[in-house]
Amino acid sequence: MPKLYDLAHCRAGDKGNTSTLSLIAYRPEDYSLLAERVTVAAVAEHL
Amino acid sequence: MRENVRLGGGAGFAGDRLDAPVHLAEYGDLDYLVLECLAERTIALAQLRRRRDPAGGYDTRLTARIETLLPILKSRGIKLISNCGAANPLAAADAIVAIARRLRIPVKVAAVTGDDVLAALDLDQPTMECGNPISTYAPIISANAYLGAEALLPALASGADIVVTGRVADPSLFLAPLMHEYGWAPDDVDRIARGTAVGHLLECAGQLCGGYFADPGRKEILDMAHLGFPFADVDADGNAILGKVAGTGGRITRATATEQLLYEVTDPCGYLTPDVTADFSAVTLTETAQDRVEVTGARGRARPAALKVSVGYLAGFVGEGEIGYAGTNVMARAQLAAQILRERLAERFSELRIDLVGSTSLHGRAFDSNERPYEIRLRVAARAKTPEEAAIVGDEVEALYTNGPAGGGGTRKYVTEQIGIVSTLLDRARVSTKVTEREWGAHAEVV
Repeated sequence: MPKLYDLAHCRAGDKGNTSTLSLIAYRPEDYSLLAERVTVAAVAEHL
Repeated sequence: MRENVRLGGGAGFAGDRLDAPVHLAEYGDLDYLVLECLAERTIALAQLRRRRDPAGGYDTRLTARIETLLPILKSRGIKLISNCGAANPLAAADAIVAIARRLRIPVKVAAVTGDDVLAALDLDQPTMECGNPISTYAPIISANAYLGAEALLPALASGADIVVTGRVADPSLFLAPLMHEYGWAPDDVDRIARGTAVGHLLECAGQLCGGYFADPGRKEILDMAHLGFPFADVDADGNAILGKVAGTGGRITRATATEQLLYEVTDPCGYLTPDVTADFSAVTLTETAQDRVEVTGARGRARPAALKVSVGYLAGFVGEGEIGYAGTNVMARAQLAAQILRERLAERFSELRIDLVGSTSLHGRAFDSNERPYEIRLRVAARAKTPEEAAIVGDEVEALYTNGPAGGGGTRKYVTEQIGIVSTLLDRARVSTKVTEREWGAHAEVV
């Protein structure tokens, strides 16, 4: 299974007490897979 | 009307490099140089300095910045816009005029004030973060409204060489000269949104050029020790081409621009600034040449009715201590040290954390040891109400020299005052801004 690190790059930041993480697919064809798998709930569980 | 305005991003925060904007001003063929010097906490810290010294409270590196930049800006006709006024834009203007007098360079400075709304702050108002009243966070030390680009327009219209402000939304510092040069109306929402996108891309300076992007082996950025700072060529409709001076380090690519476009944007379809509700979802980034990326397609909707206010408060002190261990059985010794400190400190400090950090700080290498990790730097931190109480943390870590496990060394201890930030909203009608001019060298004075 490919790692997220191989499919996308990311920029982390914060605003007030909110952490922001953007995820950018290296290849456009992976965008829908990322949108489907990397949900708010999945990230919250991972962290 | 002119066809192109070139804006340079010369600082991304108060602590940013001083050499990069000098190089950008010297070789970037700029019309405007913008120095963004205020992170969320910076202005609250500046407010504390102003309390101690009524003539202080602006960016502590203002003198270093202006001394080197002023001769270049004046000789090339570049205007400077900066929020380096922090908690005291008038004092910043006076300081700049004093530098100009010393360097015998005529200058006109316009200071924008009105962001300081501490006196008008309603402590019963809810915070945006938790909804609890602001009074929860007393003692409050600062309250600054994020002003929009319009507050800067009279300053630019005055013909000032330098515009200094306190809290202004970062992209607005870049949008203001575009509105000034092109006469964009505040309700021309699509152009305002495009100018805002450009400002957002430039506001962190080196980050657009590969800073905070580089990841060796995956996202390579060359010559970061000489990272160049960016500029944007913006046309009358707000379309722009991003670039940097040839020969500087770093890269500007579609990837670096995409990361920066989304940086700290909570909702890309509704990025709120005092000037507009910007929608970046249809932005197109196109590489047109080496280190040149075209930006088009931002759209806008009406600006928010209220202004965001950043409220600073005193949040106590943090005491810290560090000690290093290395070599055989290092983990067990570090854990023993951690256990000793936890036993001695846990009852006194409710918010205590102990971390195991480390790579090459002690011996610079691991010899032929198989120990992994080879070294551990124990870091202890706790929150306290007073500096005296906070100091106990470092003192206890230092005491491990003679009371702790074998081979501890290189202790450090720190106490730092903590500033907290919460946000609230304020009706625009309750914020009035003002421009004050300061000048030196008008004709007769220059001999």
